[in-house]
Amino acid sequence: MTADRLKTASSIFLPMALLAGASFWLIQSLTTPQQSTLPHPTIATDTTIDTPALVTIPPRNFEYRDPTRYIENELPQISPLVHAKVQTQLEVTQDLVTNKQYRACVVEGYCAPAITVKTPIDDHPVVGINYEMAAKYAEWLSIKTGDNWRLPTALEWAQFAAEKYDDPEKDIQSDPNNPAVAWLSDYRAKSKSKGEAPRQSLRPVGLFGANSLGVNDVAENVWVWTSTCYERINVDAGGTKSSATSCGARVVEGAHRTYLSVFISNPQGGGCTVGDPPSHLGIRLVKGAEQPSFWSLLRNLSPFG
Amino acid sequence: MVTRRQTIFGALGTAAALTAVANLTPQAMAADNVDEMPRKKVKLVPPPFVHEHEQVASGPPQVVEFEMTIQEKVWEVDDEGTTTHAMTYDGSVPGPMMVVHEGDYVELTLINPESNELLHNIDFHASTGALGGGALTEVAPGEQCVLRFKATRPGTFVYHCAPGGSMIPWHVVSGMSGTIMVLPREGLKDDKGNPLRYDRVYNIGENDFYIPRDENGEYKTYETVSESFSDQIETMRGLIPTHVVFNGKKGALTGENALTAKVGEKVLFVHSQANRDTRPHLIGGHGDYVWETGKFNNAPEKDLETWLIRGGSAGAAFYEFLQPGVYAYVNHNLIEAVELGATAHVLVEGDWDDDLMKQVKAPGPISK
Repeated sequence: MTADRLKTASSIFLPMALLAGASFWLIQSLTTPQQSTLPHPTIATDTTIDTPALVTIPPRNFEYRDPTRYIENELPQISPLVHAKVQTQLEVTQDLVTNKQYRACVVEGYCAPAITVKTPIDDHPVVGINYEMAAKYAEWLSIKTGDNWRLPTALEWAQFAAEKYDDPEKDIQSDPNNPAVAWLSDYRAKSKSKGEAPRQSLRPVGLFGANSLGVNDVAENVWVWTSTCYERINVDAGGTKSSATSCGARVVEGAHRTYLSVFISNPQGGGCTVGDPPSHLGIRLVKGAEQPSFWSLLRNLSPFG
Repeated sequence: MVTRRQTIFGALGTAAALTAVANLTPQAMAADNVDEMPRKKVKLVPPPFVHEHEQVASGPPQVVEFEMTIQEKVWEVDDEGTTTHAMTYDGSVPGPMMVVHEGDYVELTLINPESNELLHNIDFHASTGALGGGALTEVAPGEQCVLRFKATRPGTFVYHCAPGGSMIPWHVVSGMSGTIMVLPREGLKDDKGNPLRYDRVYNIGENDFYIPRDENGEYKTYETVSESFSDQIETMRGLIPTHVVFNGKKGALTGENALTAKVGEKVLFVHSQANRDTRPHLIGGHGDYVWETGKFNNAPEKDLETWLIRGGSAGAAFYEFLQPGVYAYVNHNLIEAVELGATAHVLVEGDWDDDLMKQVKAPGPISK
């Protein structure tokens, strides 16, 4: 069984690693870059606004699971694991965006109120946030401060999450003759992480503590939106690639990776009533343009293994 | 910012993730000799009608090919112009009925055109495995897929969209459900094993809609389907539908669209409700033979006045019309029938039978 599995894994993995390398140009040509901040006529720069505390993440090398989904010859594949060599530093907020911070945007009529049933407590992270709200808040903060605030990419999330980044597919088994093996192992992997997960109730930001790079509350009970769009790449028997990209669904990162429609603020469950949904959806921002661009970073990735 | 016309997926939850890691092979998916079996392409027809089919299978099992295109569209649910963004299989609410025989293979091509906003899939209650096929059929706008399953259990079964999390009830109460009827190869039988043959079959899908209202009590409208999501979930959580209708709209099966039959005709009413219990009743008639749970390996109940269709199932009622007239086929929660819309009419032509009923004396002044 183990030997079979290893064989299966390598037979999938090697072609996929090659495929991944070959398809980076494809990803680049298919994905619409994030729109830049647009000026808003009624919101003015405000130098008195609190600028969130930042943590500077140094250039890092780390293993990273490509969030793109791959189907080869009608057979879904495990996405390739790549070795990311990120050569630039990254500025990320030390804490999640709080209710108090978010409310300032709502009061100005720029942001929609978060969708929650409980009364928000000032120093708790804002939750009940869909992608559009998160992106809007980044836009607002950029206008207020004159700096470029934005949502992290999935890769950047992994960069600052450090040891809190858990390969979303590391425990996934597969059997070429039985799709249920993958479904069951995925379910068990996520149930396990749920058992170890912190309680659902929210706490003041920072209380879960910092990761090894000094970033607070990473992968605890608040998941955060990334700017990375959903993509699926199909390769047919003849090697011809086609793909679907949808920025209507984005990668959400936390104790495990998931994909959600941009309009969801309170996920109620995984696919088809099974699975482990994010506990809460919130916001963490990074500062500065994607420098160098996300795509040149990707070019620094090389197939791992 | 996300533009309005931007493609928006449904919840890409665990099922999709699971699909992505499955390493399937064609051998794993295929059963014995399916490739050599005879194939038949069936063109689906919108409800309340059902595509032509044999009641008794004349040949060996075959692969029956269907194709459905998912259409998201603005949909009127009543006669007052109230609209919602319906999600439909092939453009109708409910989706078209598929009819096959036990032992046949259903092969569905499911198309999600680029013009749609959401990700969809299909969960066949008649199928076995992969969350009813849901885990293998998630199609983004601009994609299509083909699912094959073996129809192993005879009966009427619901199919519906189930793309994960809150998307599941939202898609279902937006119209994304329908029925597949798997007939026994030798056709339907009564409780004693005698053949039952229908002259007509009607596909009745009952839907509960939850349309949000504004502060003045007016039904709200939304420019896009995704914009309606938050409000609609809120309304759905109240569990009180604003509309309970047959075939997608109050009045869809009344007036010019009323069902028709003749005295002496045997009609099979197939009634599905993918979300909520209902209790069909034919006012002035009966259910001669009723498979309340819809599963033909069980003997039908006889002479029913009202039957229960459990939410998430489809049942079948066989009735021979014995009198002409206008019949009302209702959900016998009469508030839902009359106030919320769950009424159909059946116009039956033929000769009156005085033996069954006669007006002995017409209403007039009290004489004693």
